[in-house]
Amino acid sequence: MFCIQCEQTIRTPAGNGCSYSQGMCGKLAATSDLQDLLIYILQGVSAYAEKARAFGIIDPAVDTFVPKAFFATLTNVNFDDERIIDYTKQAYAYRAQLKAAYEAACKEQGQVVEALIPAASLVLASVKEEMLAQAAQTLPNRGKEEVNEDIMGLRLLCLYGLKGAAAYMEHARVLDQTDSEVAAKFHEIMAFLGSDSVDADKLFATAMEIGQLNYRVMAMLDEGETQAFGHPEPTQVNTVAVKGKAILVSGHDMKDLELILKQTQGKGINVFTHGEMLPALAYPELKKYPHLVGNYGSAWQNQQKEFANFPGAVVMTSNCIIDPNVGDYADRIFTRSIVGWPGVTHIVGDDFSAAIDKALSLEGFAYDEIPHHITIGFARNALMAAAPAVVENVKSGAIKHFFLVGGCDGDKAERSYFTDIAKAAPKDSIIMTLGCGKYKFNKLGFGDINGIPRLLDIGQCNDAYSAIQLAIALSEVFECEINELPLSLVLSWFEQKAIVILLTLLSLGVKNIRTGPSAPAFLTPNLLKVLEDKFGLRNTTTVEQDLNAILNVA
Amino acid sequence: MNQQDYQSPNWQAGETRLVCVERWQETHDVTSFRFQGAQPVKFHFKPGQFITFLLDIQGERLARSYTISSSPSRPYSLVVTIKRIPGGRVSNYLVDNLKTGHSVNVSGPAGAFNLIDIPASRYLFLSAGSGITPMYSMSRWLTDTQVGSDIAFVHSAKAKEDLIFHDALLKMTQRHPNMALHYSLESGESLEACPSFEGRLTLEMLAKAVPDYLERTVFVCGPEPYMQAVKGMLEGVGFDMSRYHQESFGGPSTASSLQAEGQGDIAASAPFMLQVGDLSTQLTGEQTVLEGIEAKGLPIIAACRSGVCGACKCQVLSGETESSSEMTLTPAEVEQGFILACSTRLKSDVTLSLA
Repeated sequence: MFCIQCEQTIRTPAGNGCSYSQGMCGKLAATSDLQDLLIYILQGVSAYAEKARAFGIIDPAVDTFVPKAFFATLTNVNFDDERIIDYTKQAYAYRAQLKAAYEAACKEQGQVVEALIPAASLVLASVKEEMLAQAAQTLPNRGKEEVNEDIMGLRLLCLYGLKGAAAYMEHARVLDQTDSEVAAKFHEIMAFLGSDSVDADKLFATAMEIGQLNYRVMAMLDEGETQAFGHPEPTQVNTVAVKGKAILVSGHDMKDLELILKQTQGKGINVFTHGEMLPALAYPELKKYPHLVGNYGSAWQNQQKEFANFPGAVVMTSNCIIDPNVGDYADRIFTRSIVGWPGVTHIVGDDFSAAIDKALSLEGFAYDEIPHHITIGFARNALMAAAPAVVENVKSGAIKHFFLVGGCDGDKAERSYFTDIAKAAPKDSIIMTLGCGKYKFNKLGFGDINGIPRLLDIGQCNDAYSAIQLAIALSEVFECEINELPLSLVLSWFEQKAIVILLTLLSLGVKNIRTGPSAPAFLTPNLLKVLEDKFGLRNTTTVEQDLNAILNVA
Repeated sequence: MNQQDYQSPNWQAGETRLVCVERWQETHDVTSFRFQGAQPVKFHFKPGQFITFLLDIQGERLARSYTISSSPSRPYSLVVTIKRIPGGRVSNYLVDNLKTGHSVNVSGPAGAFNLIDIPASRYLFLSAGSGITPMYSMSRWLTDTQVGSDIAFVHSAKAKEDLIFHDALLKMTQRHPNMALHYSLESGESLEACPSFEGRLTLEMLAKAVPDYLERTVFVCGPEPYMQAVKGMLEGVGFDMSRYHQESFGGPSTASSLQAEGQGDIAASAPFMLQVGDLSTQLTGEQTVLEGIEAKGLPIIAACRSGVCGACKCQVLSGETESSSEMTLTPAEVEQGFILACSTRLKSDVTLSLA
């Protein structure tokens, strides 16, 4: 195996990346290899999809399948070999289908059938053992002997960035948001990445294109979410146990949460959100359900303890899942969509009775805890509603700085940096947050500035879109560039969604972003230097040093 | 209560989940909370002991101790009585948020200030303010289990409206001729059916209320200045201090032994590294180990924060420390490097184990 896509990947003086029998996430070498093979076949599918499009041949099923299957290879999503093989076989069938359609169209119009990337012609082995033997030629760092490490780093940046965008495409698709142009661009980039380019400029430009593509995807997702569930409203939510039978819904897909809420109505089951599902509690069409009682637990890396202590069923609608056998709850966790874990019940379709029956069979919480409320729901609309007051306070000097501290959470001790910087941020600053990185500080008391809460929880990681909209609005009010605003972005990254959001911000020209706790292992010193020179992108240092630098510059 | 609850097992020391089954106002700023076990339990503790609430308040894990105001002679529930105080983060949080049906994690019971470990034949209870809570538990215990106990009780308060347990204590004294209750009220208000003095407690008042006070075993609880005053007063008249027992309520340790010992500015403020597991933090020689542990967000229970309760016991694996209290530690534990984090400061870089 070779996998270097997440923050916890192995780093050694001899080289970075998980390349032994198991990744740091628990993914076995075979699973990793099968995922790489899947991606390779998907690149072949995209190569044909791109060519076929020139003839007006568009298959919406393929357009949604490729990003979805790609999403299955994201960190902490699918550890089930059989499901990965199924995706691969499906991809292979689609590839054949598109190939035939493309070649027929060429023939019909008297055009020459073009030779495509090798991924478009790989003959997929029929059994797992033979598929695994094919993995050597499909590893993400294939050909590393021939290319310099900066090129390899750029390829990986693009591959992982596009994977993040694919995940958001699938999240948007669930909410009926698809766009043929977006799909076309996606296939184009996916096919390009299958070409193993050695053109640094082209790869760098592609990274920016991925960022731009993802900006569109986040807008679609925002549209889908607000259309389906209304605009988030500032909402006080409880974050502790409530007496009664219980279901915990984790991941990002609010559609699943809505289905669960509908199907548990009147059944005496309390529904809790977990991790990145927390923002759902602020959407009018979800919070209207009285049995959606609050959020339980914190970010993904604590699930083995929190799920173990949760006396009900758990539904994992998307990333991140980690080994449920550790906390001995594999029999009461359920996976959805692209998520998979060997031996865990996977719910297909819209019927959640398996999870509901499980929740009913379990004890539930025997007691209430003293409610602990936090305020969430400061997405685009709420931020815009608050904008005049914010502007007034900026003009009067009551608000001197804005921080956006968020991203992914993780279990490295260095991540206390994000708690510390939020706590140390001056009292005349506003802290916006998003993603599961917020759990590093979202239960602390930050107070308010003339009624404006100092901590504004914008939402899920993809709600970076809302933060960008606020920044644009503020820059218009103050008649300046976004980079001239007293706004500092301090982002924690863990997996590929964070990578693509970073690419989006860079592609929008946002400068001087700090990221931590460590730089992606696939970025070489040269690439980091380029990113620093071009965008002022830098790694976090110490809270004191960074705050000094941020506030002196501002 | 069903038969199963009636036969519930005795409460074992350690962490327990309790459920609040009732709350009521004792005075304008004092609230009592009645608890039962989340799992049915008979509360077995020593009258005068405290429990420690383990709470998560605004993302911070906080622990505070409160005396049990009920008596173990009535073991099916447990009452804690809490006064709202300015800046009292935990007390005010509980008064504002803990409602009937809510559960809380507590540890305990603990505390050496109790009637089982301090045997006596004639009792003198001196309390002020919310320091009345252990005395109330003790009085209830004695009148329930040792009818005829000789109890003299002098409680000091600001005003009539601040009297906690007044009616219940009055009933106790009416039923038990060997129990006498006196008050000293700063307001100078008079009380029906109970003698009271005007002003803060003085030796004269004490001698008048309890003529044989010198022969009694005295239990004192109240704010620090009150206890200091009482202690000074009794020492001044040659009271046999082996029969003097006091409970101190909260507040950071007032002792600053390092500075008092004149270690010099440099030595006292030199930063040392405190290493706990993977985490390390810098501490000056003036900061306590507890401050370092809490700054890193590590799990530690610090109840009294004064070197009294023993909750913050941890072990020094290497390095030099200095402690202002080892009160609850056995000589063997001290030998093994155990310290009370709230009462210990670094004298060198130190590696610590919380286990």
